[in-house]
Amino acid sequence: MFEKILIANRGEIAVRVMRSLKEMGIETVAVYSEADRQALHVRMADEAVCVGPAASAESYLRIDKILEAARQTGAEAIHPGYGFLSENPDFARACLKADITLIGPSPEAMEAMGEKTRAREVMGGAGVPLVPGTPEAVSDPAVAKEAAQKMGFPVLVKAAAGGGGKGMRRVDHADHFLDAFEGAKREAKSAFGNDAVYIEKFLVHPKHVEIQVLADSDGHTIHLFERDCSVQRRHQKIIEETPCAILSESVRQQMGEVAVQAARAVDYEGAGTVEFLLDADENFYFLEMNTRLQVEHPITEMITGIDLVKWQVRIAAGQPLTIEQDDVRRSGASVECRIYAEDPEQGFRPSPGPIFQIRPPAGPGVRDDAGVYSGAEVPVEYDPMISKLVTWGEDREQAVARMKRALDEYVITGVTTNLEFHREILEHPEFISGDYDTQLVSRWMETRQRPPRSQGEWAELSAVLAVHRRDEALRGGSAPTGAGDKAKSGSRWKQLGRFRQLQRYH
Amino acid sequence: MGRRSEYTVFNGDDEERCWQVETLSDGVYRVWTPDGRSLTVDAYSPGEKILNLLCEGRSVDVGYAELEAGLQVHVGGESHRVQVLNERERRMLAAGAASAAGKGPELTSPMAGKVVKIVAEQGAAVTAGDPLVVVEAMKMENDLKAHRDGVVATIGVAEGQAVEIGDVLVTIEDDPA
Repeated sequence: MFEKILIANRGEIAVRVMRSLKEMGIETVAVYSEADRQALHVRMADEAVCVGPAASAESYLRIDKILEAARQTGAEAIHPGYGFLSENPDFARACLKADITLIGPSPEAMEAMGEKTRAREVMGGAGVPLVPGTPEAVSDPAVAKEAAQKMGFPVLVKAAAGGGGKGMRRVDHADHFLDAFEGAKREAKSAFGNDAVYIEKFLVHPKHVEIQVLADSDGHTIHLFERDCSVQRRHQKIIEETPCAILSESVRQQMGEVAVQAARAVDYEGAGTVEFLLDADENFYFLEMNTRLQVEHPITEMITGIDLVKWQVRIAAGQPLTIEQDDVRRSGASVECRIYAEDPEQGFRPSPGPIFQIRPPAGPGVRDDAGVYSGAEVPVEYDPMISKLVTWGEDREQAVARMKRALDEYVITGVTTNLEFHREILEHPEFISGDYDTQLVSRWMETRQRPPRSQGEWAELSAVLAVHRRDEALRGGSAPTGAGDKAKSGSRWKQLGRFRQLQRYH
Repeated sequence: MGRRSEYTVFNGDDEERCWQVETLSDGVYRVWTPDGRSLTVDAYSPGEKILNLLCEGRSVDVGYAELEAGLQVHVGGESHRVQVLNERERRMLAAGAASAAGKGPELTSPMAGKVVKIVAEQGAAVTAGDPLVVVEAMKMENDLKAHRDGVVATIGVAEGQAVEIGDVLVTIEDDPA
């Protein structure tokens, strides 16, 4: 087993990975950009190495600097988290060459699945059902438009190297095609350094359901059931749950088997996710395979009791996967809400900045994977996710009730968040029914009225008292703090001034 | 123990409300609400910018932050923006209230990022909601839209340029026609 592992990532996922490593008795090395000196993952790590300026392209994406940090600290393996270098075959090859183990699949598997056009080819060959689309990336706008018209609108323009909703556009009408095509290419270029895009038929009312797989180096491959990730805004998942409320047991088994088949087709090793679109008739189509850990992996951990990061590390160390398919048991239900620094009332615009205070919820069935702390900053340079809030319940109803309770308990000030918006979704009739599709949020936003808020008067009263107490403290003496309060607030300089006035201090 | 202090409050709408507070003893207050009710509130601060209020038999736990545009108050799962002016601040506001009303010509950037595309054309007539500039922030493209009807008078940025929050992107003057 490894003695020291470098985590080539930042924020909450770096923290989450370190937690498993610490449990395994493995030393942790963080890397950080200049903008992340104060980040939680740096504080949590045993060692930390600065890998460059704020821009990811000059720090977290710099293969040479990451490998140099590993060499310098003597880390034997690198966990890439998700995003950044996690699905970059060049990085995987560079690790091989440097004789450092990358915790993930082979560069060949990444390549086969990373280029979506190739993935479709490989999957089609392995008998995995596919959505209609262009067989390869298209660069000529006219050719692309013709292909789109042929499969019929709506279509999706997607970055071939993409993920996370970046470089992806839905087009409903031929007139808007060229603008969207160019926009997607621009986004793809800036996010992935590769502007290849392809066109895919857009399925109406589909659910996004994915299967978690685990495979060891001997090809022993199992699946850990599904995650329903249909609650999305701007093509990015914001709420995920497992099990999928409307999936029949027979289709669940079929999807699991097909996912295992897909993983085997590329000699997959480690943890991976096979994403499918599930239509209203429970037909499912291969969407893509993510050759890394997913943001929403905790809900699978909650219902199976399996620590995915631990298995990733064990498998990378060459240990066999000792879990048989029949050993995997589902228990209860789990929900994840991605807590973002963003403003749902302003088109989900990111609202980075300093977190003044963060008080996460706790108690039965609640897991909060956060990457920040009170006083830390959500930097403008990176994804504005603050935390993944996860709950578990004996059934869906309890898991959702717990999530509502946890959302109410969560206090975050300093930045605008989507905490309240999550609660609204959980109360949406379609969400409650379980029979929602990937368009739930975008459709709903067209007619949504922000619900009346009940705490306005308490908020005013609190604000008035906060100002009143501040003014009193400024006028003289120490802040009124209430009975039993030991910590006196207020500036030390002011206290010194008061001391001097009282001539207690010369 | 104290005198009655008056506070003017704005909470997300145009209506201003008057609250009054008198300190009864350390951490205990009499409060008069805008609609004339009188409450006794026991306030305890368990930590910086955290308040627990006991009021009319209810316990209310609050986290707040002092931001430039007032207070952000997090209570009962809701986040509110509340502006509170004390008497002195209220007088200052009244003195400086001669500033013009209505929406000015300037469309400013609500985010820091990079201009990836300028859709607006100088001299073109636009209506509120038309996309004018595309700014990329955190790898997502954001269409920034006209905030009013009119004619694009100036374009203050170029494609590829980095912008900060508050930078003027475009100005929209009234249509002379």
